[in-house]
Amino acid sequence: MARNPTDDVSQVVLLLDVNPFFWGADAERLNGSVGITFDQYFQHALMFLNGILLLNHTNKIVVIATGSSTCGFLYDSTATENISESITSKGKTKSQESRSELITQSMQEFVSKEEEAVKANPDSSKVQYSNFSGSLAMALCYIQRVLREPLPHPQPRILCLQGSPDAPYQYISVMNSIFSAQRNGIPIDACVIGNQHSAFLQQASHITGGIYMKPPQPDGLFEYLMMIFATDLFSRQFLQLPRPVGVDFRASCFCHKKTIDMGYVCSVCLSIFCKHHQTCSTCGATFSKSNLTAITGMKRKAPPS
Amino acid sequence: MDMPPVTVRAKFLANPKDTGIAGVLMINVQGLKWTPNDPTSGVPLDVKSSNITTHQCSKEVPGKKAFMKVLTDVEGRSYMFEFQNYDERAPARDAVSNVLARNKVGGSAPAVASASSAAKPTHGGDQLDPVEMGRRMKLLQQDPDLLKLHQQLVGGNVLSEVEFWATRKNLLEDEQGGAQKQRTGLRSAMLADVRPLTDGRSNKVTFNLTPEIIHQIFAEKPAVHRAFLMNVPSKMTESAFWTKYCRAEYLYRTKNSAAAAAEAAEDEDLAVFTRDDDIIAESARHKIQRVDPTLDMAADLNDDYLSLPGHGVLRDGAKESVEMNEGGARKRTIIHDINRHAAVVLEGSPLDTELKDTTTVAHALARALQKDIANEAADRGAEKRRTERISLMTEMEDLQGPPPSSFVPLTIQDPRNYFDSQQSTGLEGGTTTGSNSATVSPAVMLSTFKAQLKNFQPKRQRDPAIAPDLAFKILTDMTQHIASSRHTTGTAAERNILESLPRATRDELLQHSNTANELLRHFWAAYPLTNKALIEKATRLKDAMAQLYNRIQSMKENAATDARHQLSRLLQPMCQTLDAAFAHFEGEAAKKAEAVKRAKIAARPNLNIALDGVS
Repeated sequence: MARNPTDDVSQVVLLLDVNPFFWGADAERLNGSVGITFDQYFQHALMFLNGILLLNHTNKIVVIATGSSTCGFLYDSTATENISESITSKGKTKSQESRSELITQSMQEFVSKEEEAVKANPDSSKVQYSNFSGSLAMALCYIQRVLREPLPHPQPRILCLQGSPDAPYQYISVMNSIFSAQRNGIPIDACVIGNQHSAFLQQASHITGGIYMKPPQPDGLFEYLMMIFATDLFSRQFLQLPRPVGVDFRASCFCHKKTIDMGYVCSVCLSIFCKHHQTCSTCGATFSKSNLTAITGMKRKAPPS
Repeated sequence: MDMPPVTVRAKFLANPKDTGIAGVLMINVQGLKWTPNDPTSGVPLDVKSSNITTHQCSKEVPGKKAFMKVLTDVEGRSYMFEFQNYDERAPARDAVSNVLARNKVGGSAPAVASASSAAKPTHGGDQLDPVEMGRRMKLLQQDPDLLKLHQQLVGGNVLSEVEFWATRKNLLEDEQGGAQKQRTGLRSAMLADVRPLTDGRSNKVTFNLTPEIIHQIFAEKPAVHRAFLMNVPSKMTESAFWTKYCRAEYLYRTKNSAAAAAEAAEDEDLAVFTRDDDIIAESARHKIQRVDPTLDMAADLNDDYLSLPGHGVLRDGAKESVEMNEGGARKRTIIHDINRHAAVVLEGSPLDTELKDTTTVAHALARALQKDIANEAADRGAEKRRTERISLMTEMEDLQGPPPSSFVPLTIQDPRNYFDSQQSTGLEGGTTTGSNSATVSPAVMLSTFKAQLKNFQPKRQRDPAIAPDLAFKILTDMTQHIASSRHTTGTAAERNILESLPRATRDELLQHSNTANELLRHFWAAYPLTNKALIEKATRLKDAMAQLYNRIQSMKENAATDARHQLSRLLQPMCQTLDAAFAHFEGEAAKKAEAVKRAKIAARPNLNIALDGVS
């Protein structure tokens, strides 16, 4: 196996679920369901990011926050390299602190923006979902830019830290993102802290060859992150990582965005519908309901009579 | 096993849409006879058993009519019979299949068959012709699994030989098909010359000509072929012809072209061999017509150094080049020969007839050529096609439109609808799972979250980040989880289990599964149990399956402790299929008992009435 010099240099894009309503609701119920408070979660994520940078000094990280209606970049290690370098010249330990500070600062800005967005559009029904498709698309765009830079580029991967449940209405955009990640060979790792398993992320990691994990002890998040998700793509060839027992392959229908077990699939464009339609709403193909069975049945009956 | 004649009522249908003519069908060893009830309504049929090729029966569907079609090899005729019901058809069907089985025996007299079957009762009396037998033997030899199965089932009297092979017809046919081997084409090695064997002592030169060589000579040198056809039976004997040919070849070979020419002048017949092959020229003209019209052969002629003296590879060096310089009649360069040979090999139509003697070879080849010429004559529109080709070849690429793409692009009918619907419908569907938002209002949640974030101090280092006991617990859990999931639900776990078992166990397991499959196939094929033979068969198979079940159980018990779990996992599906078969058998038996009981009950009142009548 030829070893690329950048084999174990990673470009980690961390999608941080910062849905205020998810974390706020959770705090209201006194950590009942999730078992980890937001400050713990944030703390662990920051430690993990520092850990990634410690593993290899050429590793790159990008943090994207996913809110309920917005999403945005919190931190980009390449963009802030110059700043941190200037700080390191003052004192050694300052660099790490400043990184955490930087992220925290941008996080606060992000949350206030999110608050405004929610106030501008007070829609209580959608707030429990995070804008996962948006942040995933941002991550892919960022990675695409990295991959277009001159060689050698680091090995990109996406890690989703998700708490809020899947939004069925995002099915199409999420799946499109997953497939473009698959095309570009970008694995999507997923760590789910919420109550239920995430079908989107299960499918994402299954399709792209990433790792899916729902930690049984969310308060030890940092340990899971370091044990499993810190491994670079090269090392994954030699390591035994947790394998999912099953994947929830259920899809959302295109017409009502409901998660369905069985449905109708357009034979032209593979759109999924929960009930029979005369025409496909995506590609406009018309489904003529020819009674094939009836015709053959008549044929069969004809000879004896 | 002597076949008792079967007689049933059956309607004969001249074509499938007919209502049919009522009559009586009789099937015995000699064949099949049908006589109409009303002698005026139809002609009696008599089909000899040797003519019957196969038979087809309609599916047993309640309420549908029972048909049987018998196909014969006499002008592909087939006969359709309609029976009163399926029960009446069953004996007829079995009888015809028996007749068919006997057909395979060939012309052996029934008496012989019955005698031998008495001697070998296990083989069920279906004596076979040696070819069929040989084929079966070969299959068994090739496939040890099949052999084991055969020994177990046929040897153990569970299945008869016919039953065993009936499901493997395709195997036998493949075997038969394999017998017709690929025909060998012409060799690509250039034979070109028949090497003479020179005897050092005497002045004799010997040529060895085999039919294959002669075929090749004929194919590559049409002049010789023509001469042979013209002269051989009428003017000279075959050996005389070949002596002449060899003489010419020899003279040519020994570079004595002058002598060859002299001799040719003397002997008209010999001259044919040395003359320019006008036939080749003719065929070349034909071929040129089919060549890509944009290819200008004349333009390439200047590059042809071979035509210049002192260039190219000439067959025999100096002598021949001299000959060429002389502008002699014969210009046989090696390149001509190679091209001619290549053309013949590529045409590569080996003769269908076996190469026995030269005359047959010559005539067969002549026939083949005739066919070719006929084909060519058939497509007279060659000239027209040539012009078509020219127009096709001289197409200007830049005058053409863009090539149609090989895929159909996805056209989203209404993109706005497609993308917007993701947003809009989310509003409707969102509330279904909105239990969280129902309990706490968003504003409260938002403020709580903001308070949490305010509390967060990046500088405050928690020490430790995770409690040590929790960290240890996670570590052990994780390791165990990975270890166990790797053990049980690996991607290739099933295969690994099979590989990991000891060889003997694995073989036994595979054999059991083969046996189970075979038994089950026959068992289910026996249903519905329409006659006694089938009931017997089903019972026999059920017993065999019960035995197999016990064997599997004992195998499980005897397995090594560490393999037992995996073994039972592997055996589980097999046991389930067997269980299903048992359940079906018992269910059917119960149903039958029920039916019998009901029939008895139904019969009883009559009996009572009769008794009443007596009393």
